[in-house]
Amino acid sequence: MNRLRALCSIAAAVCLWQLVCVLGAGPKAALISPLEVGAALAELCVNGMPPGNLLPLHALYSLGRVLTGVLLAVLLGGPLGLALGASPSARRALSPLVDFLRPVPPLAWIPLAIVWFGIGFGSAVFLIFLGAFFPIVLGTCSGVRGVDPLLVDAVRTLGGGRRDIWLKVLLPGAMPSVLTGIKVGLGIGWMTLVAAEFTGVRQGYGLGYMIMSARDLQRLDLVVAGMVGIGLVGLALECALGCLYKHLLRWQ
Amino acid sequence: MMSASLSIHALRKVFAGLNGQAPATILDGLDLNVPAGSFVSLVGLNGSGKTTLLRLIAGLDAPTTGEIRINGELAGSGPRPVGMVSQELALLPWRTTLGNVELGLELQGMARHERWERAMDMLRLFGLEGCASQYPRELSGGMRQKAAIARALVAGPELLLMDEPFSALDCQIRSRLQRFLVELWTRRRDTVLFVTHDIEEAVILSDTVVVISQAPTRVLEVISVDMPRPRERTAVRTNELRRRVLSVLKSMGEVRR
Repeated sequence: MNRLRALCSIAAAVCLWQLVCVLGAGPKAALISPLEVGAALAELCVNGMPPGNLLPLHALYSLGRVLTGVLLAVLLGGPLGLALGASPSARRALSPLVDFLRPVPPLAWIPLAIVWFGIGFGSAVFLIFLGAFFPIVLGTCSGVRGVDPLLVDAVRTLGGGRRDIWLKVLLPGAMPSVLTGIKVGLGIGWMTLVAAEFTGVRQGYGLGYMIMSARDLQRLDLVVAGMVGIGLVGLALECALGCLYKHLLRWQ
Repeated sequence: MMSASLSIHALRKVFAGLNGQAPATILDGLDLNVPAGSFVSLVGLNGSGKTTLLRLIAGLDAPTTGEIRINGELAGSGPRPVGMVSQELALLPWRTTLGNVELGLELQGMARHERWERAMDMLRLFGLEGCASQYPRELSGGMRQKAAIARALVAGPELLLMDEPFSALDCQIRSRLQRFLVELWTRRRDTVLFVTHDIEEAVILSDTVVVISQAPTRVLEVISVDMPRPRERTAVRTNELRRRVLSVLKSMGEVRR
């Protein structure tokens, strides 16, 4: 039922979009209709852009970059968040640094990223990592802080040591916020993608790279098709995460 | 199952004042005796340092001065093997009822199969075997508190410390759980220290009612309850004892009218 409702709303949005394009008063070239986007998507899947580079591979390369960046953010940001959450002195020492770096947009790092990691995979992953890092740090930190101290006491009176407190109370207790942090981080990772791939990609694959090439050719239909591609991959990832979270957090 | 005796002598706990506030003396030379296998209630109004006392006994906090002896031996620092049941829910929400009851055995390093059997036995004793695989949020308040007691008892604690375990439950469920606790205790004879501000509850449940003052806490009177169990809430003797506890609290200005 819910799925049906979601499909209906998408269909309605597409119809409205088509209607605006047909009746649209603006300059013809500024409006890309769903039908044109459909044709562009088909072209991308059959011929590719640049010729030979097909849409699914663009998506796959982008997915790889985003997932690598987010994974690195989890591996580095998770432990930092745990430390910040568990230790007030770590919080006092590191919070100002985190709050100082956090508002700097990942895009501002592009010149440095290129100098440090060169053009290609490293730079793109670094920028996505920057976008995903802070939501994950903050989610993990607030998750650990939000764990009821009574639960820690309960485990201590039952004979649990530090290790048990971490493994059996703090980590599972922080899990909902950690997962939310990862979700938000993943979203921001996708948002950084186009700019990250704008730093250049060696293999000639990537949705962001593709969008930029289409822009250079003034093929707005392909640009929109690339946007649709990003949206679809993001949606699929969201659904997969949703299922995973439902399983991990079935106690909630 | 080894029920231990508990004796406390001249226990003092002072909390350092935060941000320039004066230090707060919560316990000031408290003496208390809980013989092995007995059920002792501490009755006092809110703010009488009851929770602090239980945390000291459990070893979750260290006393400023004074001694805590378990079976006559001076208790060292650090958490002790006591069973703790508190007012608020301390079940791990991400574990099933069985998982929560198993927790203590798991922390002791017991093999999976053995702890499953022990925990299931305990659940059967508590009539909770039907909800072994349910999560705490799926249980009623009364069932959760039962599960918390089962979890505290399964690892064979020396003492069972209960901090107003039934005060958050509604009346009918509370009296049902009180009855259940009396039956359970009559069968097992754990050493129980039960904190409450409900005078009737203390009289119905315990061998001895210890009336304590507000912080800085000391013992006002020790009243033994000379009634066979199970006890009638409305019996003449119950009422006499209730009145007596109340009069102690009143005479010390602990109850204002």
